[in-house]
Amino acid sequence: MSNHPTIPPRIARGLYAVCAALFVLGVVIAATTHTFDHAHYGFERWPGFYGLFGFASFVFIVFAAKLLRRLVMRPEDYYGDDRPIDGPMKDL
Amino acid sequence: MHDLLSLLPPGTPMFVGGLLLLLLPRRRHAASGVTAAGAAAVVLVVLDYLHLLSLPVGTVVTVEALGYTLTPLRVDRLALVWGHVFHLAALVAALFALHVGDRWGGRRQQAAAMMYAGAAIGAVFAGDFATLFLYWELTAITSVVLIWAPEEGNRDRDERTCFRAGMRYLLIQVTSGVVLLAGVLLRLADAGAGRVDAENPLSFGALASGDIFEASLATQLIFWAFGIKAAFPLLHNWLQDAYPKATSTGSVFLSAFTTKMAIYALARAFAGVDLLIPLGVAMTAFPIFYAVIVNDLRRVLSYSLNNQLGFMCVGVGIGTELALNGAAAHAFAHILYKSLLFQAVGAVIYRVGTAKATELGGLYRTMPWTTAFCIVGSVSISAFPLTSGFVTKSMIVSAAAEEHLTWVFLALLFASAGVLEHSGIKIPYFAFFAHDSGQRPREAPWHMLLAMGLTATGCLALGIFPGLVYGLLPFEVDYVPYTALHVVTQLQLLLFAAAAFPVLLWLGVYPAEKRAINLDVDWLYRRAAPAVFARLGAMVQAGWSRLGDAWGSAARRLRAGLDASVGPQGFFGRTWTVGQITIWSAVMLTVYLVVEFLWSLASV
Repeated sequence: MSNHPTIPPRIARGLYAVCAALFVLGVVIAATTHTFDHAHYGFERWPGFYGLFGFASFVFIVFAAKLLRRLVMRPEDYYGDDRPIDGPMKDL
Repeated sequence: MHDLLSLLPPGTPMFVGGLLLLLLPRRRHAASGVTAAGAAAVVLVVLDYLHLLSLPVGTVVTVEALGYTLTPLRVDRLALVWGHVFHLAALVAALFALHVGDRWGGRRQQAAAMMYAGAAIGAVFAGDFATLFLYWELTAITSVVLIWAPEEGNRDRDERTCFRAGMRYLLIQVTSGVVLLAGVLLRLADAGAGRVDAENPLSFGALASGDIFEASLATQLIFWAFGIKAAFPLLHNWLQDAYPKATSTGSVFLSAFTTKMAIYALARAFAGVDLLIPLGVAMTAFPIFYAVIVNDLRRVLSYSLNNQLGFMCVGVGIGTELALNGAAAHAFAHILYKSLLFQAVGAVIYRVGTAKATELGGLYRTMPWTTAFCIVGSVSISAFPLTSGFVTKSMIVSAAAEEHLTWVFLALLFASAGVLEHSGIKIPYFAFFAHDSGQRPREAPWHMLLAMGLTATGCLALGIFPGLVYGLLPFEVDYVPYTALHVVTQLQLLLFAAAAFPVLLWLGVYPAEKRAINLDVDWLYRRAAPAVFARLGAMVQAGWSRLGDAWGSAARRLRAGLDASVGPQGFFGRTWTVGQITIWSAVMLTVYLVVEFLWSLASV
């Protein structure tokens, strides 16, 4: 059984709007304050670094997982756990 | 009396009281649904916690036994972090399970849960390895009851699969204890030979830092014993195998104790062991791929749990004050939000009978409170600002950056996006939203909502008032989680990652939920090893029977030969005349004489 559920477009659009706002906010904060000077790495100061890293990670994880599924997915009864077992502890 | 009480290790009231729960009547109060055993369990946890709070920091109780100094009770700041949160976790889990106990199996489950939590608490306050070993094994044999216990209406479980999963779990857990015991005994032998630089070799304190492979064999054995229960990579699969097989209330208990007890043990004995950093990074990274494709939501949570343990291992491995504080704080926060997520999924199982994503969806309509609490757990584990995960996980990530561990830092960011994927989005989305499964179950019972509400409040309170947990930590905290930089970058990381979800759904590339299982390391001992042993057995058997055949035919041939020569009809079996015997004797004597003569010629 497979299904392709979706997200209501209203919620998705709101999410994109918040992302855009965060991107701008990051650039503004970096330009107007010294808070980004405390960053440990130079790349942290690139505009939208965290956002793009998060987006790319998410996409990579999903695609890698799809590949992994080809390797490791098996039917639910693969281990044959539904075979009856013998022995005195049957009633546990 | 007060003095005597102060000798009692915390956890003991729960452990002993847990046994006594078995004597209670199997009665359920009709209006509230509360059982006698359930109510008594809550009381036990409260009593135990009050006892802990009455013990001053610095309490140490020692006992001389068999020539060794045992320390059954040691209260210090590190132990107290776990002591507090273990009691909170036991309290909410007991509230969640208030309805369990009106049947023999249920009452047994309540007893086991209390004994299990009590043993884990005892382990945290153990000051020596012998006491630790005792509790280490007790947590194993009490917790397996939660996997074996019967539960009506849960279609994800059946007697046989649970029995087998429990057996595998028990075997691995007990193995961890045996390895620990071997390590401790070797350490005592080393101490006897003067090779241990400690006043009391049994003392449960720092054992190693830096390169673990340079430590003694005893120390390494103890390290890997802890590693089994901490679900190190490749040693992890007992967790994802067993936890989804527990009862819906049992997995709430299981999620809190065993693995975090192991993290505590690592923090106590192996702070600053470099190997913990790559191991921890692997633990944060690999389970997230599985969590995307797994159908059983409790198994998703188990992979997620494994990933969270990775963050703590990295913190312990870095070993700086900030990192160790981070590991302890993260354990504290994690226990609460992971319990909350297992409670939410447990409530779904209680009402719907399954936690399979393929059979869920749309439950928010009739279970709005459970949905809301689940979302609180999801945003907390994803570490959104104003939640507990934000103020604790960031300490570990910052500690990695401060030590200039760039790859670790990036890997932890990557893993944070992964957490958002499976625990932040997948769990609430597929359980409560997604496509409408058409099911309209009732909202969870009041005591489950109470437990979830309390836990959710805790997750938010820690996020809004981080001082609540920072004040408990073993070292002074001068970390400030709420800076403009941190809030904005964290929100960017999480929300941009979240924005990928509708895009992938829209493109139709997000992997659909499927009724299937996924092979993991357990394949090695559930399929490969039995197959190899079966093959080896068949080979030995075949070889043996061929050897038997060969022996049989050789024996038959020998017998036929003997028959032919000395049998009744054989050459030597015949009746011989005296003359024939005389001739043959003369021939043999002649041959002997000739040989003797030639021999004497040769030796001259």
